[in-house]
Amino acid sequence: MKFVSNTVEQTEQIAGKLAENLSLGDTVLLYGSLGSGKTTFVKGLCRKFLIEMVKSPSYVILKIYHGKNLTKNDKCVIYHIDLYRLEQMGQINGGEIAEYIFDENAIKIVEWADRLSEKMLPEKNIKVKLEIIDDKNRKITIINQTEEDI
Amino acid sequence: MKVLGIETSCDETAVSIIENNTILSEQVYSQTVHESLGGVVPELASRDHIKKLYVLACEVLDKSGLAISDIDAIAVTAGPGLPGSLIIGVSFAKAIALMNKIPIIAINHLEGHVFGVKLSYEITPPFLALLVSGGHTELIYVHNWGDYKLLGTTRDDAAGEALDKAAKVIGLSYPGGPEIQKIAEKGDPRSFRFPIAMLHSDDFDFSFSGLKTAFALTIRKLGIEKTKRNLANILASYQDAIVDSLLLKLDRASKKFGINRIVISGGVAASKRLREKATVKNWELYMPETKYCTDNASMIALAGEFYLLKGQQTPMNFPINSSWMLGTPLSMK
Repeated sequence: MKFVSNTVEQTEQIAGKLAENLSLGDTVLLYGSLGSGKTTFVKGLCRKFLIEMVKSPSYVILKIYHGKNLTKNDKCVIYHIDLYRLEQMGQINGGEIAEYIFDENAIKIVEWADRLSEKMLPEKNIKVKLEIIDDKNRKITIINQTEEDI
Repeated sequence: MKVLGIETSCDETAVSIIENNTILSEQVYSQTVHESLGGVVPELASRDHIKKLYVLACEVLDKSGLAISDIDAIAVTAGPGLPGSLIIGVSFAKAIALMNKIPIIAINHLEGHVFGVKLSYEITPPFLALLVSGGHTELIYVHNWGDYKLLGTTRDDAAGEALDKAAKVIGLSYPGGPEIQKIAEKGDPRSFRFPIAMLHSDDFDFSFSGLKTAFALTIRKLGIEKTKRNLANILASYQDAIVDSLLLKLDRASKKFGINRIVISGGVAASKRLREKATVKNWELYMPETKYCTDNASMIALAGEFYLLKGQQTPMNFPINSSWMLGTPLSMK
């Protein structure tokens, strides 16, 4: 699916729509340069789970949020992972991060997912590519591996 | 009282011994991500801590001429920070406490930074403390030692993170703050307009994500050649946007609470521009020397001694809390 967003609000809405179809075990992989709207996208996504305080985990690499899945009326844990700082490490092959990325009892959101090696990509993943068109406009491409609609 | 402080919340392994607010000896080892290869950083950080901690502790004891049996208490950072790294420090601290049957005190890393100002100055609360680094942007009302109110924090990126990431975009090295500062000195901070975030909100929160985006877009729009030619101006303007938004909220808090005594600490407090612009304010300003702005164990030991003298210690079964908010209990449940 392809979208063009021309406001922060629209990007949040697109993320919110995606959030409605997420279930435990899903991994949302975010790709996009600095300023492409990753933070905004994550905020929009988390808001659907009633999580308001979303901050950049660049420094600590992982933040854990306890939210609520309204459609299923159930608790929901979200791992917000940010691999920005790990660039110097080359592609990431496992270790501590793997425990979180392959956790089936949480929804995982990974920023700077291009840092992950192939074998670190969970099967049930949703790729979100954010591209800057100009000041206001962003192209958002969502590729849902779980639906195989590439 | 002789207190051994241990700090391993992120990339610094630090050990210190203090007595009556005075450092007897201290050590800080900074891990460099760049030098390590393969694997995952958080885990590597923990691995590095476990190698270094024992060595540093021995060195600190050696230099102070003390034996471990001379230590009256252990103070250790229990959060916020990287979970794996915190666990190494806390386990090590508990082992020493257990072995020597001495009290242990769990310290909040941010409270450590508040106490850290005492390493450079004699200061008495109340004061406002702004902690700014790559991982933190917090504005704290210090009513008294041990009595805090968190007034505001960042809604997205930390101030230092905004500097680091902008530096990265234009190919400068880490940490970005000093690199940007160097180039910005030759520029005109009024030449480019960057948004001052949260200017109109009446709370004390910060936001730097939008500013960072504006920076990326400016560079993109100008293209490589024009960016190169205007680099000093762009960076001077960007740096000022960050500094101004920090000082703006400090100023507002200072006026609202009628407090003129201000502490600015954390890695970003080393910023020359922040120092310049803060100095001209009508404040009684305290900015610790750079080595006590960044992570160290003396500040943890100092906080520990304070609680020890108050007769407080932490029960041995305390947890770590990677997102421990200042002024809240360590244990979440």
